[in-house]
Order: sequence, then structure tokens, then C-alpha cells
Amino acid sequence: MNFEKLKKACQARGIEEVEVYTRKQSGSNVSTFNGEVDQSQIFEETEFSVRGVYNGHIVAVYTEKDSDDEIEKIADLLVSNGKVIESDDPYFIYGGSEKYPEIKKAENDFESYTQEDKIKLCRDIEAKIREQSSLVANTAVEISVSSSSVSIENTNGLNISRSGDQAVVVPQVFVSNGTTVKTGYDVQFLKNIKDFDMERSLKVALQRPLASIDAGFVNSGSYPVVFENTVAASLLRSFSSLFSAEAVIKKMCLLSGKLGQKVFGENITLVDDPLDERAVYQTSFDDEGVAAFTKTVVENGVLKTYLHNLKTAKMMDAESTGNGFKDRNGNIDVSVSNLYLKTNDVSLDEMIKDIKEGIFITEMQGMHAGLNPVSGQFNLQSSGFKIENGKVTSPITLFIVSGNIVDMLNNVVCISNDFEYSYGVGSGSVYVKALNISGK
Amino acid sequence: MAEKLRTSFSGDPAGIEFELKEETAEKTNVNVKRYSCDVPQKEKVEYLNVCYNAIKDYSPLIVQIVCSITDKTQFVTIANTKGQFIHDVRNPQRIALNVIAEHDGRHQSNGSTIGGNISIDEFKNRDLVTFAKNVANSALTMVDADEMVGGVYPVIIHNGFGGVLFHEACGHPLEASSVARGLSVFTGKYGQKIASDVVTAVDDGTVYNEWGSLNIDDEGNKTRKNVLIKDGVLTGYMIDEKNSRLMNMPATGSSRRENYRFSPTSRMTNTYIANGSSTFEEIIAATEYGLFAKELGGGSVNPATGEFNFAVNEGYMVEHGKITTPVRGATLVGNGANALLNIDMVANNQTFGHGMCGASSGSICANVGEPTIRIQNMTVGGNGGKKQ
Repeated sequence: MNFEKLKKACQARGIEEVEVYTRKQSGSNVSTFNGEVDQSQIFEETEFSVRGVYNGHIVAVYTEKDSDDEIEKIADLLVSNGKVIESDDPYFIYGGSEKYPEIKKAENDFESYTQEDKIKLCRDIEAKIREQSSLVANTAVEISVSSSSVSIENTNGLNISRSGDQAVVVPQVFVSNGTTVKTGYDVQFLKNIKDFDMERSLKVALQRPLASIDAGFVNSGSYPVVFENTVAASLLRSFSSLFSAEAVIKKMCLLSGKLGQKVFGENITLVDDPLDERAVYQTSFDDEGVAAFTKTVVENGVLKTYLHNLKTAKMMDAESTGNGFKDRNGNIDVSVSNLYLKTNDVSLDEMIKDIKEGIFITEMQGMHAGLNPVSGQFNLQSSGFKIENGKVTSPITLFIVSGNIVDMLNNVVCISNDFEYSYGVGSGSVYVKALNISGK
Repeated sequence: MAEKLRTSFSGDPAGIEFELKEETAEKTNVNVKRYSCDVPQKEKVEYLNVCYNAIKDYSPLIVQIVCSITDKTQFVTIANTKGQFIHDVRNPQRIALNVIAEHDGRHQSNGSTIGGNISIDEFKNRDLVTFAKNVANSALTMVDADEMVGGVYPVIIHNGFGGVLFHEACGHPLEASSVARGLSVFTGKYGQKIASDVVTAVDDGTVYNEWGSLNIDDEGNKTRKNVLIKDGVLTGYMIDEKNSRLMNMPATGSSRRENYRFSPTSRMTNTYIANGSSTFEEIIAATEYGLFAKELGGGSVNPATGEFNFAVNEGYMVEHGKITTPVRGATLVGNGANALLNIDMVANNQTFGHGMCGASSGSICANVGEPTIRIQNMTVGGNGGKKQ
């Protein structure tokens, strides 16, 4: 989008400050199902998110069209939407940080794979899964490759961009013994397609459902519970608004008014690190153009900072932590950017060796429904294994784990060193002293 | 881009010849007088203020009220090698209200929506004040409720949005996208008994101006009323064109997608359990000890295994045939195929509730619905049990 034209159209209507945020994404997906090509898709999309200040209010509009007519229409919309806003919240069209961290951009091999190469890889993966067990009923593999870039340009002098590439390989397996079906999948974010780890997929997507095929039920009661690394990460992700200053302002934050206080057990340290090289994404600035940096959110149980964007920082007399990211509608919200829980130097096997009778949770469902970030309560459909006399034993399914996230993080016994990032949140497996389990 | 796409196909061009016949879809199911894209924002804010003003001084325990209106005007044109060249317009919109009540350090949120495939003026005919008060009342009741004690109970699921359980646990596995591949628990069960006798279930894209209704689906076929289960027997799937060929069964006007970014596939429209012969009062009176799930939240299901979970946003215990104390934090889990066989009572008070349904072809407007039903022996989770 031609920024000069946009600026002119806006200024002609009395819009003082304006910014265009451009996100481009292109790439391809291929998938196979039982050896046959299921989908082959190529995509290219560009989205322009325009924010302008009219009448003392900030307004956001987004479009996928790029034309002179569209620019005029956007400017009109900024004015008409600006007229209905009554909120007096502070706003920012940011002029830029003094300096930005440098993100090393690694070379990758994505271009060297044609669609046909990727289809072949999908089929090879399927074949390797099938040859492992006669109980494999269906297999599917999807490979997606994408490149994306974000640039921000505004009337206060900001003009920056960032970009990244990624490949994701997702093998999916359905196993059946004739009466029971179990499913498994693995998601591998790769810096190079050749780094695909077959052993890992066999373990996660095949051995897990095979081991669970005769799953039984567990008696209701209170048990020591160990959340496997990626499950613990997804629980933390679902409760990440605990640290959001936006949630504090909206009175939707359980940790409101607790800055500097001990909120969790001493063994809990949480860091938000947009530069962490172990994660899939690194980012040098947030969606407002504020430089990204590493911050300790909770240190030994003490809440050190909330996560801020420019608006929440101003309202709470703090500095932005570079966590201003856009929501679906183009408005700036607060989100975590590689949040992780620090681990202890103990392996998973060692950690569980003293548990006499407990539950090892390897899968949880319904995170969008069965937990409430405002109350901290969670009641989640789970499956996993029993822990008996220090060992992971028989598979169990269709039980519910219940608790309150704040109580839980005050009752963590240990976090093992099997650290892994899963969709932007990282954790080892988390051993909690006791939680309620509802089963048979 | 077309060139890149071409290279991903092998074989010769199909050489299909066709003539395009341009037409506009008949507005039999969705007929909106004024599109949202032509409505000034100011007018929308007025309806939000009606909701807000109804509850802003309702109780000192209500600490937050968020009211929003989401609307979309979608102009659709479909052209295909069958010669169809057809235009249609959809205009789904709804008001969403979320409130937070706080008491003695406990927080409780509650929300609901009201809307349809309608023009904004339709909100004049809806009772927004009662809608808002109901949302507030539920949060106020639940903030002081005890936590559910986990275990196995008979569960009475109320009408309207309670139908989300059927949507997730049975609706998704009846979509051709999972049936055709043999990934559904209902694959190969056509004509067989899959539910108890009292269950009849329907997917109907033709309900006038409803949230999930369409004049034509996203492959240009007219939507229709598909009976999925009749008196417990599986009588139909929801089938799109591609899966119609794979399954050798006719397409059912069930092909949908969010927009051009997605390929269309079989999806639901307005899916509901049909009215039965009991009344709500009879079901409560016939229950010795159980859970009354008045409002369900969201949930999810694995279509291959049928395992599902649902949050109960507003729940009450039923004791000796009477609704007694409110309970918070209950979660229902189970297996769709078993749950269908365990429905033993169906009332006659069917209503709809709106949802956004997310699947491989994107996020679409889908209505769920049912009368009040009772399911025997469900696993209910909750944090109210004994603490160690």
C-alpha cells in the first residue's frame, strides 16, 4: 500500500497520525491420506492493517485490497469509526525504540523441495509408520511451508520490518484393534525439512496411541499429577492472561494488585523471551514497533512484572515490555512471546520415581472451554497413564483433571528437564502434589 | 500462481465444455432487507447501549460488562464446470454480552449471544433487556455456587445451546469428510440403530433467517432439511460434492467454507435434536439425584474416537425430583456413540443457540439446538471432591 497516498488521504480528512502494518504470507501445503494425495494448496496473502488517530481516538481498519479507491475508503472508515468511540484510553502511534535486537536469519532448504518432493516425503513417512504395526488403520501426513513478513510504517517516523520462514510436518495416525480406535499426531516445526525426526514421530504419533488402545478408567479421587511437557505448556498458554496488564485493567486478572508479591511457590520462575533460540519464532519488535527483550515475569514465585503494551504501560505508570501484539481485529492487545517455565535438573523418570500412586497426563482436550482464565479454575478432559510405584504403567482415558492454576503453581513439587516449546510456550513435565481427578 | 498450481497436478486436462448461466439465488431461507455493511456504526452502538444500560446498575457484584456486536456481509459468487454462475448474500450478525461478577475474591464470568442471519432492525423485535438480565443473573448465581463434586451422574442438559453436545459428539462424526475416510465412529452404520428410540436429529439449512441458514451452500447447491437420525436409526450424513463421489451418495447441500482461503467440505448448518414427548418438568421430577446443566459452554470432540468434553457454565444439582443448589466448574466427558444410546428422555421445548464452528474449511456460523434431554450415567468432573 502506498503510504504517501494513505497519509495524504488521511490528512485531508483531519486524521493526524496514521500507520500501516503490512503482513505478507505465502507458501504451500501438501497432504496425503493412506498414500494418496489429499490436498495440494498454494497460497499468497497480504493484509494491511491501518490505524489512525481521529478526534483524539485511535481506530483500526484492515483490508486485503490494495488500490487507490481502497485507500480513500479506509480513510473514510477511520473517520466514521472515530466518531463513535467514547473511550478516553491513551493511544500511541509509536516513533520507534532506540535500538532493536538482531535476529540471526538462518538459511533453510525449503526451496529445494518441489511439491512432488514433499508428496514423496509424506508417502515415505506414512509407509514407515505402517510397517511398524498391523494395528495402523489410517495414516495422514501434512507438510506446510510458509514465509511471512511484517512491516510497520507510520507518520511518527517508524519504518521497520521483520520476516521469517517455517516448515511444519504433521504425521497423524489412527490405530484400531477392531473395537477401539485411538489417534495420535506429532507436530514438528522445522528450520530445515531434512531435519524431520522420524523417531520422534513414531514415538509420539504411533507408540502413544498403540499403548493407549486398551485404556481403562480411573477411580475419582485426589492424586499426585504429572503433566507431560507439552501438556503443561498448553495449560500455561491458556492461562497466560494471568500476566497481562490488559487483563488487569479490564478487571479480568487473578494476579491484579500482586506486583512484587509472592504469588506462586518458590520453584516457579517464568520468563518471557522473544529472543529464545530454542523457540520456533524469534521477534525483534512487537506489533506496535517496540523493541523486544527478555524479561523475568515470575522469579522464585514473586510476580516481577505484568506484560505491557504502550497503552497499558501508560495507564499503569510502567514501561512497555514489547508485548503489544494484534488480535484478530487488528487492535493491539497483550500476548506472551516465548513464555517459559524454568526446569529443575531432574529427568522425568527420576522425578516420578517416588510417586506411589499418581496420574501422568499426556493429553488434554477442550482448553477453550474447560478452563476459565478469570477464575483460574480448570476442569479438563484428559487421558494418560497411571503411575504406580514410581513407574508409568497402564493407560487411562476419559477422566477430568480439576484445579485452580494459582493453587496448582503453589503446589508444584518439581519440573523435569525434558524441556520443550509448544506453540510459543515452553515447559518441562510438571509434577503437582495433588489434584482432583474425576473418573468412574 | 495458476502456473504453480497447475504443476501440482498430473495427467491431461479434463476438457470439460460448459456454458455459464448467471443467476441470483432465491432468497427462500435468508432474506435480509438491510445489509450490515450499509449500517452506520452509531446505530450498532445504540443496541449495545440497550444491553449495557439494562444491567449497569444491576448489582454491585458485577465488576465488568463487555458488550459487542459482530456482523458480516458476505457476497458470494460461485462458478463451476457444471455451468452454475450464482450469486448470493449472507448477513450473519449477533450481539455478544459478557459479564464478570466478583464476590469475596472469587471471579465468575458468563456470556451469551443473540442474533441470526438478519438485518440490524430485527434487534428491535428481540427482548435485549431480558437477554442482558439473564446473562447477569447467571454470573451472580454462579459466583457463590459450590464447586461440583466429580463422579458419574444422570445429566439433564437444557434446551438451546445445550445442543452443542450433539453438534460436537454426533454432528461432526456425521460429516462426510470423516465418514468417507472411515474416520468416523458412524462409518458403515447407515440404516443401523445408533441412538435410543427417543432420538430424532436434523440438520436444516433452511430455517428462515437463522444463524446457520443459507440459500445455497458453498458449492452452489440449495440447502435442505436433512434428517440424520430418525427414532434412533441413522438415516443420513451431511455430504459435499467430493465426498458424494467417494461415498456414492447424493450431496446434501452441506458444503461450506469460511471464505476463499479454504476449500469447501461437508459441514453443519442448524443442527438439532427434534422435540420429544416429555416435558421439562417431567424430566426434572423423574430424576432422583443428578446434574441439571442449564447452560453449556464450549467443548470439543475427537471424531475418530467419539470422545468429547463440555464445560457447564450454569449448573444445578437435582435432588428428589427438584432443582436445588447451583454448582460451578462442572465438565462433562464421554463418548458420543454411548451418549446417544443413553439419552432416555427428550422434552418438547426445542430452541437454538449460536456457535462459531471451526474445522478444516474455516470458522463458520452454525446453530446448535435441542429440547431439554436427559442422559444416564455421564462422567462429570469438578473440583469439589475431598482434598488430600
